[in-house]
Amino acid sequence: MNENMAFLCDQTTIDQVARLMQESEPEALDALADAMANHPHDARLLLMRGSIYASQGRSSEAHTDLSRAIILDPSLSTARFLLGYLELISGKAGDAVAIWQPLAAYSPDTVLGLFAGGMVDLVQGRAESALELFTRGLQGESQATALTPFIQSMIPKIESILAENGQADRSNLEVDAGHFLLADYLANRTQH
Amino acid sequence: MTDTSLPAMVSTGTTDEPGPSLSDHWNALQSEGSKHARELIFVHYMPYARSVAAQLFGARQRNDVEFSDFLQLAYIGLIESIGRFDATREASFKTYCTPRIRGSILNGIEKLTEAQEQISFNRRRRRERLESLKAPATSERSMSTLASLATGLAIGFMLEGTGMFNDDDGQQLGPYRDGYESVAWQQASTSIQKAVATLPERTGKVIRYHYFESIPFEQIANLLGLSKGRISQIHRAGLEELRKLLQPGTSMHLTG
Repeated sequence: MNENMAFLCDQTTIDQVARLMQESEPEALDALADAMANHPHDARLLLMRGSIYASQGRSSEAHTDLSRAIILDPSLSTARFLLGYLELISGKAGDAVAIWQPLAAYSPDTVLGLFAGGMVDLVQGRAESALELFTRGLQGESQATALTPFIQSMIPKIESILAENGQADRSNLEVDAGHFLLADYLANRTQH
Repeated sequence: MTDTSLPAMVSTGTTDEPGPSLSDHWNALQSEGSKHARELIFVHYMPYARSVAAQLFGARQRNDVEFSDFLQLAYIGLIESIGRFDATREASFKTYCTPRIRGSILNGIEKLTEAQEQISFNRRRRRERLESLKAPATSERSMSTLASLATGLAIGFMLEGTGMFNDDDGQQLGPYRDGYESVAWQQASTSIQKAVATLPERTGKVIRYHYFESIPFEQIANLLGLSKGRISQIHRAGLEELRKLLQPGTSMHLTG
């Protein structure tokens, strides 16, 4: 643990960068470059730079930084959830699933793990399971309270879909002729 | 901070009295019933309505009502004031509208209390947003209905989380409130906000009014002279357009 600490940037610098991000992106990027020169393996710096790239529409660089952040610190759930979220809103639901899946699998009892699992189930059409995970996540919402409105906003719709499909096998909603993109994506994923 | 303003369509003088262009808009509204003029006047006085809402929110005695509720009630008061104001008889619109905006807020909040209404305006806004997403766009056939729904809501949440206003403690809204993680989330969400600027004019207006100014569909419909159903359609189409704009490789000037 102490060995890892040697790689970490000091908190004062982290706070300074965070402040700069709210004031000036170029200055924040400069400060991040300086910090990363000394601490190239600090996942938090990569998370912050990745989010700046995302804000600038530099998707590829954002993806690289956030992915590296996750590799360096798999416990940095924020980076994983954010990366999946960015994939989802750009219409790449399959990529979002691939990114969220480990969070759901290895942190199944944390709020973000439950939310990630719910998102995976939702995107893959398993509405009932998504509903259950979201509900459990909301019960432990103190860890991520501001995500609550987003998750809550989906629950009524999921419930109505479940009601509409009450006679069908709810666990197999994903078997849908219109779901070929995800199926194709998952097929490709099996290559590695 | 990113640009969150609606187009500066009216002279933004700081004096209480309307400037010449504003006066023209009052004339157009009251002589011709121009909906466009009404919107321009609304945009001009939005910051003032917001400041009234902020004042009352700061002095509130209960913590179970969100600032966005105060803001929505302030805008409703402003819209009603614009409809009832007689520019030929009243000396100052601010003098006229101030008690009405305050009244709209205070009465609205009181009703929330009296009715034991647990669903805040903000939640209602989210609910109607959800309804808007109900009918999947034809271009979304490649995604499941649920995936499309999740995408639409996620975009909406990102828009909302860009923090057009701070909460009572000066904290911007976002999924995480702790340090750099919170900042990172806010930062990432600004690309969506920038993308809104590239939307067609009317679509952009609906998105900005709804997400940046917390105005419900019904009031936006009133403001733009369209049906609530039409606003719902425009909203859905706007989110779909944003999704396309955010796809990697899309040619869009998001930087700068």
